[in-house]
Amino acid sequence: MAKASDEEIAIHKLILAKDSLALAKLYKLYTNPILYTLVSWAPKYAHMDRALINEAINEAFFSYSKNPSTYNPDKKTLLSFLVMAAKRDFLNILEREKKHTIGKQELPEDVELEEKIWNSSIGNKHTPESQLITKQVKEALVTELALYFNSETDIEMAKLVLLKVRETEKFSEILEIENLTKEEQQSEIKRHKDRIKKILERNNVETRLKRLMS
Amino acid sequence: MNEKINLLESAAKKASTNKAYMSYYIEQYSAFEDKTSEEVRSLLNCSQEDYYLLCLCKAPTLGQPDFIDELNKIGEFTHISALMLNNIIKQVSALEKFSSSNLIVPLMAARDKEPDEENLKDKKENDKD
Repeated sequence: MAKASDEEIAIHKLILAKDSLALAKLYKLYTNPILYTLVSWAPKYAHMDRALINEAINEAFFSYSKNPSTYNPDKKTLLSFLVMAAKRDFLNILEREKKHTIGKQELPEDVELEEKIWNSSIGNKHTPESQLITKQVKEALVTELALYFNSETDIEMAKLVLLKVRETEKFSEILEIENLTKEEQQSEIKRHKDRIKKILERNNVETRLKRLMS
Repeated sequence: MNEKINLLESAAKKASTNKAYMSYYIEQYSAFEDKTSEEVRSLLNCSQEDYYLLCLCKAPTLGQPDFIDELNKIGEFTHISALMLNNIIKQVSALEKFSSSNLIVPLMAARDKEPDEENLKDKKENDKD
């Protein structure tokens, strides 16, 4: 992933130093690109309720301004960090609104995010609406997982864990351990799966995704 | 352009609840002077974008050695007169001090008694005698 540009590092330093112009400069620099990205990402809401998108962007900017250490300039650009945070905040706001609308109706905790649910969301690719849902669910999943996992390998592993995939081959392929013996592969996969499951459970990722897909 | 301004306006509104930002001072000033944000913007003689960017600047603290430098820095960034910003911050700070209960109590104690109150007191003392 691309590192931060010199301009981004400069603004990050201003935020870290709690400079009086830092937040204003952040808005001046990123308002247009982040609006463009968010509106393209969620066009339905861009037309229906722009306030939700604005709230998500504000939440992302203010949170970063308050806790700038959450951003690592060596790992990604500041813009991609802010976009990711705004998308996450947008999904949280949407979830909150949805809960509010349906009267805090909780999903049962023992319902699994089975592959068929996932497939029902991404399987039907014939209508424009289903394509939009597919795109949003996929992006929601990637955005959510990127918050907790730093490597692409972990994100791919986490997807398989959430889908309850059990085939060793698929995990081995991601971990690139096909050359090991079957037992070694299983042992290595178990070690990774346990670590990933702990992170998913600790952050309640499965429940959050189920709500989004319901 | 409108979308950008809408976002900046919502950000300024969010910042107005936090005393650390200029947005808080602008909001308080507008309320006290009974002016709309458009009227304050006209007074500051700036564009809409600069007005909302001003709201997102951290407010300099009165009495700090770098107060004037910070005012000038914000003024330069937003193309707004530092003198106007100085007036707004000082006016709002003075109002806040004045309206704090610690100052109101001594003022009330020191005020002159109303003639009716004086008469009532005298009457009570005469009745005792």
